Amino acid sequence: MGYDWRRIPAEAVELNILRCFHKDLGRGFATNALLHDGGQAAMGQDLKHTVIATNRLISYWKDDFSRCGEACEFVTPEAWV
Amino acid sequence: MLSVSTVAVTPPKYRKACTVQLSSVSTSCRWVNSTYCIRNQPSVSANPYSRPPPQLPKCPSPSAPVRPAPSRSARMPAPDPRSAPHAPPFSLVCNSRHSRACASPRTTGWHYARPAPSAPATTPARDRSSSSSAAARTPWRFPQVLPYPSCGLVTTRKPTQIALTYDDGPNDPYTFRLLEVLAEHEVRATFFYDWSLRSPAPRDRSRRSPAAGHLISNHTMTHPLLLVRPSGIVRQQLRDCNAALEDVLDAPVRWFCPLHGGRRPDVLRAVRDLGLTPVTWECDGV
Repeated sequence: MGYDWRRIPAEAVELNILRCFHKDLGRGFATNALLHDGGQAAMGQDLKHTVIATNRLISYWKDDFSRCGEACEFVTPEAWV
Repeated sequence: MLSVSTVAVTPPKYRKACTVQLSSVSTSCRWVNSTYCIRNQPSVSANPYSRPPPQLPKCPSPSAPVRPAPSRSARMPAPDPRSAPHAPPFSLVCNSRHSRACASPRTTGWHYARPAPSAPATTPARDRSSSSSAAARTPWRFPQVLPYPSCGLVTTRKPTQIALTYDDGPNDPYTFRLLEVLAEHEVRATFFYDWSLRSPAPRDRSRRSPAAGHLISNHTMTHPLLLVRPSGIVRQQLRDCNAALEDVLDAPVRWFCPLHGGRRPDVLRAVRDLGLTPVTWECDGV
């Protein structure tokens, strides 16, 4: 979980997700990264940091897996049923 | 006499403390010398009872190739991976590139890394002939969806798979900026939409998401705290959101993300009765 409904910088969102990612990686499970593109308070809530963190995380994962000779696979929950 | 000479070589800054220690501790000569040595080092604690820092192995240079941890010695051969199917296929290696990427004070430079792919192990002929021994060696697989209703979806044991899920949308304009980022990287994601669908602009623009391959799912109509709501209201919220989504998307909705992680058993039972599958952020089933 990225805890991105709070007003935190994009780097903090990125680190929250990567912490869960490394935990799941160590257990050998796939990762479900939960972020927020809206808020329950009102329309137009500022979630610019989620957009920035998403861009960085996808680049990070693609580089990380390709360096290890594997392909990172972005899936939806349909792939787990 | 020995004690006096020790105090004389002590720096003036610590002379008072050393003198007190000399008078109170009988074996003070060695103690003062060690204290003096410790206090001359600026970054080490002055506590004489503190242990020295552990000697960690040094990180290799960034140009050095990342290699898996060495296998066990000949006296203890490497285990067959089929005999331990739940052991993670990763070894802990040092990778300084990770530490630069994470840029965290907690980062130590040690991360899980994948070993190089190896040839599949061949089964001996005598084992292939015995069906009972082959069945005994078949690894037990964790069920993907547990049969009892208090659990959500369970991920596979494929660490290369990553699912990006977004809650509480659509939110103009950030949802649509996000769609542009995902399209740029050619990545599919899952969006759990809620009450914002009542607004006309997101309704019209949400029709674009399935065309891009994204999955849109249920997140209730008004985002209530389902843990403390009666079952009738929970079912009404789920039904209304399903109806709104199916009206916009013209497709059935199959997934649900519990709000605030509320996984009360009767909430999840209502979710399953409506044909939805709960998805949480801790999908590892533990």
